[in-house]
Amino acid sequence: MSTPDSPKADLAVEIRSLTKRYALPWKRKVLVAVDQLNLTVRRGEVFGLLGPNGSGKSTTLKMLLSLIKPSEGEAWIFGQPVDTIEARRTVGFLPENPYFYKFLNGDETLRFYGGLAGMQGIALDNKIEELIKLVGLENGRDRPLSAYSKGMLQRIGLAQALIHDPELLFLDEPTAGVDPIGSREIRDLIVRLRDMGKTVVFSSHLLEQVQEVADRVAIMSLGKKMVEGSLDELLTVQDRTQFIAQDLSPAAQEEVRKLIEQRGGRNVSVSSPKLSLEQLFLKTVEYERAAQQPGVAKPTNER
Amino acid sequence: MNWYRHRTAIWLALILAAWGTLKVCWEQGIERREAELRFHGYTINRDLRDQLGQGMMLGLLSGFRGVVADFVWLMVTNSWQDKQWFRVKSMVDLSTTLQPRFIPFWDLGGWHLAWNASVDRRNNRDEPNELRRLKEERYWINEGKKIYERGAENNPDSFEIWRSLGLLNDQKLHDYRAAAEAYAHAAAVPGAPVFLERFPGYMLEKAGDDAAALEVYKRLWYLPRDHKVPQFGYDKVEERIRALEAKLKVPREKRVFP
Amino acid sequence: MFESLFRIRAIARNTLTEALRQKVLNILLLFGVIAIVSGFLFANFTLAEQFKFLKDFSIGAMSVFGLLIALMGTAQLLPNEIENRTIYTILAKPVRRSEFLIGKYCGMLALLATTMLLMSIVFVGVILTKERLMINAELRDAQGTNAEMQAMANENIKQIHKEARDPRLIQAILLTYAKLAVVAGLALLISTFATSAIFTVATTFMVYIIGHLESVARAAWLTGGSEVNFAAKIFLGVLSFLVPDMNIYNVIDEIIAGSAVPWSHTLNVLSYTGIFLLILMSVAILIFNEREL
Ligand SMILES: Nc1ncnc2c1ncn2[C@@H]1O[C@H](COP(=O)(O)OP(=O)(O)OP(=O)(O)O)[C@@H](O)[C@H]1O
Ligand SMILES: [Mg+2]
Repeated sequence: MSTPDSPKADLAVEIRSLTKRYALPWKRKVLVAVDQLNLTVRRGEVFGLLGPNGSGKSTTLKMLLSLIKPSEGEAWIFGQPVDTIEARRTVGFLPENPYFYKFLNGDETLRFYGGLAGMQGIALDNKIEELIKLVGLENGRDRPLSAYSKGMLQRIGLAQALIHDPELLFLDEPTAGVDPIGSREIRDLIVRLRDMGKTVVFSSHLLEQVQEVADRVAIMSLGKKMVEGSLDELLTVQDRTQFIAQDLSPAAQEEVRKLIEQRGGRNVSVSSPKLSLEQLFLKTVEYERAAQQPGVAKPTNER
Repeated sequence: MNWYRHRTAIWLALILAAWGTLKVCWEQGIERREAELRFHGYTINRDLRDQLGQGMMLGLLSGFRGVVADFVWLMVTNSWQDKQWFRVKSMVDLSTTLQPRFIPFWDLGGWHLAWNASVDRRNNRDEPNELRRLKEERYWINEGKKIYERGAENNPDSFEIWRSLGLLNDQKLHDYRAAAEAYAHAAAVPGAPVFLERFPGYMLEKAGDDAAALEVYKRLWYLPRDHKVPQFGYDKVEERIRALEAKLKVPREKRVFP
Repeated sequence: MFESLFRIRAIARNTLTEALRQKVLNILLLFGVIAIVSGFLFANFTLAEQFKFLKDFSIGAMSVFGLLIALMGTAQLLPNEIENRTIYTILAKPVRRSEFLIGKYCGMLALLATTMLLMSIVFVGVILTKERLMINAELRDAQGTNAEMQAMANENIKQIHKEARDPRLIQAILLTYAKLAVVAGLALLISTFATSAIFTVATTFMVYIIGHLESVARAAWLTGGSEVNFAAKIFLGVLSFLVPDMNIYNVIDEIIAGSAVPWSHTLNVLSYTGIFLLILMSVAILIFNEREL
């Protein structure tokens, strides 16, 4: 029997009024990094966590991994409270700007993390082979990580997160510092993971990319969730209609326009595309622009 | 609930209180045992601090007592080569204070003073007054003797220092009775070489107390031991008994060798 | 339980690998030089002095180098993990914080054991070479002399054997290791709440020094009469409760100086160390569990 209050095991992530406050030293203020966040991620979806710098994305992910303790609120992963070791059995994590042990090579790194997840023997060997191929690191497996480029580090980070075959992946800016080709590969990888039935939660600044892969997104600003929903819902402008036609002559276009006006339509522009995620993003966090106007202080999450 | 928020602090306090009590008792026990084993011959006081200087003091406080004592001992050797006898004495005092259980510090330290310093001072060409030279010689012999005596007191289980004290009394002070006593002490220490047993006899003969010497040899003779083992040196004991019995004109019926 | 040990072993091995690949063992070269120099520099001293110098300086050097590793190495374990954020990747796996901490500590213990073992091998090599050389010299000098001289040479050879193959040196090395384990444990505990490695090193070194004065404080606390005022008494009591007694490891010097140190005493000191380390780690885990990363 499940009461409305008990966490649901069919949700990959469930977050209820999660809050993180940091006391600012030397100031008698607190910084609210994450503010009363409520969020759910369903099993099997790719979820994009968006927000400008300092909006609390990384903080949220860290709380989901129990690396830091929430000041308030609770969160569950597949129904397990996040501060249990069971919750972490089903999660793979790629931190932002990952650094690993420089003195290990690619193979040893994966072996180490596999060991931490309780893997050993042939199963581990096979998994390492598979992941090296999956992330395309064949050239780096016996080089020490100190000789890795940024993109290679990101790849080994992904492989490390996948080593114990987790159901759910948290990727904090997986494409940061990766060139366009690599970034496209990582995007394809996320799609492939979804096809394998995994749930992916990732944060990113590259909105185009998010738009391409995410099923649903949440946009955060100053620790608060501003919007949440599927991309279709969010990006479709409900009170507008868009026609797309091929080989329509200018005269014909004029005719169609007149017809629409006759039927009560207004303000017609035939060529307008769908709202882009970028537009939505900027609209949601318009303070950036407000801050550029003289005399308007940039809002912060200090209290 | 309020206690729940402070549960870490409560656990910490409980663990530390329980452990602290056990810890103090345990350490007291270890210290008692160390006292039984005669470790800890020194206490850190102002005197020691002044003599050691900062570097060595830090060494001592970091648990390198042996190394510090070795450095002090190297200074003993240097000062001895430079004939700075008062410095030798104070450095010997310091190293024996630091490691009273290392016998050679006492043994060699006493020897430096009683033999090297005394001879050097007696042959001092800068001092024309012979009486003064002899007085100085005597002073250093006595200083050496004091070191032996303190060493023996600190190490009742060592025969070496008693033996050296016997030699000093014999060769330097010509106090043969005292030498006999010291050798007797040395011989009584378990593990001491057996030939030391005869030394009190030799010393008493030297002191002119033939009767007492004979008693020593006779006591050795009647010990329930295999007289044929060469280490016991019973050939020498027999020779001395025969000689003394003849010299003292012991009546035939009372002799060991009639 | 078994899984937990498995993870601890993985972390410990990783910590050891890191240290070894950073060439920590180069310190052995320096140790070798010290052992050889102290073994052969003092040739014109008496036999007992020569062996004492060799043992004091070699075991002392083991202790100093071990302390350096235990202090500097342990103080950097957590800050490095946190700074490089490698700790995130570890704790994001199904690994408890306690397992992480114990794994790190065990890795350090393994490193210290490796260095101590290798230094001991060098030390034994030097001391056995010295034994051989000295015995050869005695035999050479005694050749063709009278019986008395030969008996003396035999006595000397016996003493050389006794000094060179003193089984009590095993006790000395074990106790040195125990001392290093305590220092590493203290450094790890302090680094769970310290904000910088420098702070950890400085504080641990201070505790180490105070540890050598703990017995004095304890005596003053337990037996001090009215001349010790109340505040001082509290202070001394707290000190006796918290700071380990480092003087108990001075038995090492007693062993080298030639005192008979029974195994029962050594084992007593080692068990004290063991329990102390358990408490130390428990406290470290309690604090580390609360820490924000
Ligand atoms: N340990 C900390 N102490 C104090 N403030 C912190 C700490 N960690 C994060 N913050 C603050 O919390 C806020 C949110 O940080 P967070 O790293 O979650 O942002 P983010 O959304 O990941 O940003 P970015 O896109 O730059 O990675 C920031 O204002 C940051 O300064
Ligand atoms: Mg971030």
